[in-house]
Amino acid sequence: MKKMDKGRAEDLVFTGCNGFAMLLLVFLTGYPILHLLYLSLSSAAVGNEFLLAPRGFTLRYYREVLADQKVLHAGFISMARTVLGTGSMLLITSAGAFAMADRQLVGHKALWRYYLIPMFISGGMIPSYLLMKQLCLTGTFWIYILPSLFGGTYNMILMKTFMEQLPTGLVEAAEIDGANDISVFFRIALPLSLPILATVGLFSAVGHWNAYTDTMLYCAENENLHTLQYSLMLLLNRYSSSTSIESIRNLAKENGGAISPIGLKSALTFVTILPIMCVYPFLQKYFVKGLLVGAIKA
Amino acid sequence: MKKRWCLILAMVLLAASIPAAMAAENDDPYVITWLKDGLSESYNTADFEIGRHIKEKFNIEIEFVAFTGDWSEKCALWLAGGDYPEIMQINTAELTQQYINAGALLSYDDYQDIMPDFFARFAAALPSARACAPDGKLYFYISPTGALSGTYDTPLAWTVRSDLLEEQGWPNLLTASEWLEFFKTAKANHPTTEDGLETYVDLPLGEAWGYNTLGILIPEVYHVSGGNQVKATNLLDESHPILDTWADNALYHDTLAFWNAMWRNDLLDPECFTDKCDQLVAKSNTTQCLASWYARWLFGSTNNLMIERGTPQYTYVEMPFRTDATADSPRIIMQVNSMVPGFGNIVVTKNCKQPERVMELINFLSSDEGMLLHHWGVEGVDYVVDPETGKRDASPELLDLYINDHDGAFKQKGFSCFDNLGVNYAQNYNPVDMQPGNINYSDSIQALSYTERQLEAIEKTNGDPLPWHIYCGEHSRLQNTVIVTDTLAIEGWTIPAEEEELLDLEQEILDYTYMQIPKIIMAETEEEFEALFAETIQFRKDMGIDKILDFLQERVDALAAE
Repeated sequence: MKKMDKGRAEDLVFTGCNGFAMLLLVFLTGYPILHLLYLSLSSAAVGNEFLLAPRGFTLRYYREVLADQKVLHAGFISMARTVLGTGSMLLITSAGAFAMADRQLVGHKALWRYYLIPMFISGGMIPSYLLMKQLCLTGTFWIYILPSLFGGTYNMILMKTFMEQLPTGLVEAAEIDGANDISVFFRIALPLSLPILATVGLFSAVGHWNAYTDTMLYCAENENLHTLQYSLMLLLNRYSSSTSIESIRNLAKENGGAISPIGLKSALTFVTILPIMCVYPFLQKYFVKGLLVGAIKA
Repeated sequence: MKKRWCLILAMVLLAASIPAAMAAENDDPYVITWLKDGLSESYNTADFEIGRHIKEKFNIEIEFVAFTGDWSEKCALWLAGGDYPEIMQINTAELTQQYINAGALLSYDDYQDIMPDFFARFAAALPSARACAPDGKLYFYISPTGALSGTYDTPLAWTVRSDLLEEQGWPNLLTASEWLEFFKTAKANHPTTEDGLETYVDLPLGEAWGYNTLGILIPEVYHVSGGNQVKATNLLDESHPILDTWADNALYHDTLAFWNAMWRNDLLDPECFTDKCDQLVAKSNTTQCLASWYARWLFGSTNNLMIERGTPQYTYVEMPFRTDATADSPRIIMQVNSMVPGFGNIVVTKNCKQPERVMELINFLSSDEGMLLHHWGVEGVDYVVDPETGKRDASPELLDLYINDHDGAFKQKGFSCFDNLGVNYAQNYNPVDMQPGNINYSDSIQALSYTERQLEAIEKTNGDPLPWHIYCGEHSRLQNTVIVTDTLAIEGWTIPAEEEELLDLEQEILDYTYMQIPKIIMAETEEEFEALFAETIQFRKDMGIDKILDFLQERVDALAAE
């Protein structure tokens, strides 16, 4: 009895300490996001202080960001490239993974080397730029889609490893019923690979959503192709780079009062991360399963 | 049958497009897309009245598109890919040289016969620009070469809370000693804000350019930084125009001694060494910042906030500064008459579809007529000329627009909309007529840019209601303005890219110096300050700073001899 009581007491202490440590961790990791949110909702009078709630609640910064037509258009471009780019990437990469998962594939070893080498060595920025220019992709929307159609050897490895563990009996049964490779891929492999597709898809979607460099390099001249990140950066520069008192004064007048760069930056950050934060919980259940199973060879 | 109809349709379409194509070529304007680094907002020049005036003459529009990112990287990629735009601004000497060497640029010399005004305006400066090209031709120009800088809006000034000035009887402060006593009293009277935040003088030393702003230019007289005014202040020793090192020039010692005194009297914000502009703005918004140095443009939004809050007494206002020893020194205005590639090199590339038209436009904007139209608008409509003095000022109608419809009709005027292409003297004086280069710096409009409280503060401290007259007005304590003409190519103070060893040494010395500055400023006693200062000078000498200075002196002497 005494031993049991001692054991329960130890468990309770451990649970308590563990819980406290986890709460502390949640606070340490979560508070910066909250602080950002409070800054974006606070009036310009707030300095760099510890905030538990917005001070001088205002939606001015969000109004400024969302009222800009260029930002809205850029959001549409980002959305389009995220959906199209992620979808097409998943299709092409999973098709490649499916093919490579079959060890009977002719030239399997040579193909494998062909895929692996670029994983470690890349051409660099100037060769990439020259290639895109020669393919007439610069200044077009397809620069966002076509170069990233193949999502990289690493993602293909993840998918391939996952697909290798799919029950071979299912595939054989399908083949007996007359299914060809394409049918097996679309009707069996893809539906069963949802965890890994969700994982890789999320990485890709975040990459597309946050993309900035490709706009700067290939599409800076065309405002209709600016992505959300690029457009928000331009907006931030608009307030940060003003060097004349008059232009700041005019900006402030336009916006019904002082503009704090910190508040605006915080609002910009939130506008950027909010869509991904909303999508993430729905893919959460696939995440751990997809990562682990895809990484471990059965 | 089907094929026949398709053929007929194709022929009809082709026939229909020919006149359209011809018409397009004749009537449509020549639209140039100019991707521009540092632009706050994209715009088309034809959206503005002045842009349309110029379009009527030349049928040219420029679509300025704002850029954000690494501009040098972008320019390098363009050069590699050969798809550089028609006109561009290159912001480094190295890249400009690479473009010249790659044969990517058109030479302005080939269009001399249609650019007489351009060549006349820049006559003194062009030889130095031609020296950069292997064939001795002119491939770039820098705007605003020829301007008289440092006449307006010099950043080398204090921005101080006006309630502190009022409290101490509106003193007309200038020297380091006066400012030190002023801040001591101000801090004693206002140790904290109403919310309990401790007050300080703050500086944005956390910015990349932060240390360059610590007064009379720490420490690298030869290191190209923005602002010819800043370089000019280092020309006070006429016998040694370049080699103003810490050891030779008391200015550096006295300036650092001032900051050290501020530190020892607990006047300087301990966070100033890491504060950036955002933090400075935040502290000024809460009135925690008693004053700041250099970053005066940040206080516009703060002043608006003070008015919005109903506390205009906390408005920040500019005031000048000198070390005690230089209180009576001349105020130097520099006229840059050299064109060694630096920042802001305007080039026309071989991808330009109609270079003759572009050159004609540049020529027009360089002419007196073009500069007036571009930067002042139409006489009698936008500006008026005093018949006695010949001085230009904004017209009453324009002032009315400025006050009542600034974001509409005034903005639609589009003054300086071709800013980046033509000669732009902006806030500086036009050396030809010694008047502001731009209507936004006319007396009337300048006065409107300041709040009532600022104007009151300036008038009561300086005895003159016009803010920029603290530098040049009748009552200004800054007298004996001297115009220094830079024929020695101050841009020649930079070490060229091929001198890698010297560049590495320069960077090493800079890194060491920037590490030492906070230590020197934070010295706890005068003795410690002197010891650290002397140690720093000696260490820089031991590192080999004389090698760099000798090299630069030779370079500048050679340019001067040419």
